[in-house]
Amino acid sequence: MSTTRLTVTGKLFFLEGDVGVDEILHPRHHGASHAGAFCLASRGFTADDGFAVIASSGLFGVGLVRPPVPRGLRQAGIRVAIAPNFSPLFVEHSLNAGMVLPVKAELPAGLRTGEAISVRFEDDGVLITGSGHSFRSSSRLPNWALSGQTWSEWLRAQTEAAGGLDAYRAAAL
Amino acid sequence: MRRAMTSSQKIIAKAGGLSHVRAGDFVVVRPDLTMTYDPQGGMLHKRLMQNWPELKTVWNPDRFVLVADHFLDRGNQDHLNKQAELSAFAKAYRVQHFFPVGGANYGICHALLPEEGFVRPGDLITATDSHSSTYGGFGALGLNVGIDALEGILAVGRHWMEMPAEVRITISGRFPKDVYAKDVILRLCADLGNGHTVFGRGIELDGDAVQALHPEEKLTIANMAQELGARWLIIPANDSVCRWVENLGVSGFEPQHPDSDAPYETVIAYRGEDFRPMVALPGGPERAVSIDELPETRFNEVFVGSCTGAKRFDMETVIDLIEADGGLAPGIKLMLVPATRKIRDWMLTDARFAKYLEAPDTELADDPGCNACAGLYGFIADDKAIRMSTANRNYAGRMGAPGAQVYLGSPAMAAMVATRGVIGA
Repeated sequence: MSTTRLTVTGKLFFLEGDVGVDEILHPRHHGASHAGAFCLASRGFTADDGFAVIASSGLFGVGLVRPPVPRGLRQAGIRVAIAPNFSPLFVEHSLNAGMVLPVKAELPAGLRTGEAISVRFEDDGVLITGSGHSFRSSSRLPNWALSGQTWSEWLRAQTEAAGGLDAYRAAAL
Repeated sequence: MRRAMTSSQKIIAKAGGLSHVRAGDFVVVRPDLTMTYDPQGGMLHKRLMQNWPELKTVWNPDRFVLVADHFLDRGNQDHLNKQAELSAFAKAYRVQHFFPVGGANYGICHALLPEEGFVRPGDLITATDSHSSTYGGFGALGLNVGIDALEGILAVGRHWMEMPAEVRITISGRFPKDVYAKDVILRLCADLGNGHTVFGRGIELDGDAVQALHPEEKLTIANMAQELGARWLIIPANDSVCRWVENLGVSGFEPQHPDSDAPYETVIAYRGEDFRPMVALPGGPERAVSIDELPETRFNEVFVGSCTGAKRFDMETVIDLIEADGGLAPGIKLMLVPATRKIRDWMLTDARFAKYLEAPDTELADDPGCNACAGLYGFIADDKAIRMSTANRNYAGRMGAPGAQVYLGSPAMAAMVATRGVIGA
């Protein structure tokens, strides 16, 4: 029996093809904190519509992924991103800051923008349930990322548990 | 049981205290070297004070480097504030290896660290710049990390990562004499850039043609992993690189080489003889074409700078080829931004540069650093610029005005433009 660690529900925003978060989002031109939302706005996304999950049929994070990008997505309401492949930098930046949870999965046909969707993170994978279809992903997240903490908060907690900074620094990995 | 590993897997396993790692593993590692710089020094300082108030010095202080290279406009108060923040950070945590503006040596981090002997083959290096893959040119694993990650590294010496699948690219034979490192990486960007094969993967680049390159040329290739869409690019260190590093006074490093049966997701083979000088058209490195395919193009500016075009080898190449080709063409503005102070000082004493530095159309930047490469100060391109640049990026507006036409090429290509003004068929 698999244990559910976290469930996210909301509306799906579906994108055909790759999602680029490119140099056009350079802070000099656009404001880094809005980078993620800006990127999606160019593809018809409106934060006011209450989307919580974004799915892409292509590569997620093509181009330059700066740390504010996942923050921008989160500010736009996105909590989960589903795609066949992610930029590792997007994944690291996003999980470290506790922003958007990435789920690697090949998407089934028929996903539609606006449909209600549930994403259930379990011990042995992820179950995605939409309107009239469901699919599983063997995608994993590091255990600490499901704790609801940022990387910094998690390290802080580990430091306290180890008895302080010097003790944790000296402890084996 | 012995498990075959790639060179990167061996470096990560060592940094994680593990016997082996595989693609898909989550690993916690202790980096061998860490670097950050002026875009993030102030923010990082605030976060460390807020989240780690007991911190007196950063973890492994002998292996942490702090660099000023992006915001060096001495007439800009925002830039001066950035430098003041960086100095405050260095002072607060007693940073041993701080390279401030105006110091004995300073300049672009990705040239400075190899020049100062911080980059050791076989090491894991984490740094907060998207071109941190540069160190792969010396057989180190250069990882670009965000500020959240760097906070954890400096506080407690830990970084988590997921091992990507890896692609091995070999280039056999020899490159033609007029092919340089920038031509190699631009060809790879044109062929593979941001495609499914390399997206998010680690790349191991090897083969006789690659290994015959000058050590600084290997840094140029590894620098542009991000433009390929890869997580990193590493060139396993050969004897030439190891000797280069040893000559900087570095010892005790452990170069890592792949096992013959190492696991790669994809293997791609090229022949060095098939490479040609390349030019990236405005818009991105993946828009690179060979010189034979380039339409006739008249330039009015040449920018020789950045971490892929202003190292000592690059500057030697530029001045030798300009001399050999009879000097500068009329109507061309030549902008020289050496990567580090050591290189700038050498240029000022080298007789070959003297007559060009006195020419009205040639300008030498006062400070070594990123200059206009990131569009932040210095030789900013205006809308009329048709610029050949030795930098690594040419997205619209990257070097200044969105209407500027910025082409990318090697230092040799920059010299060709500087002497002819017009290139292409």
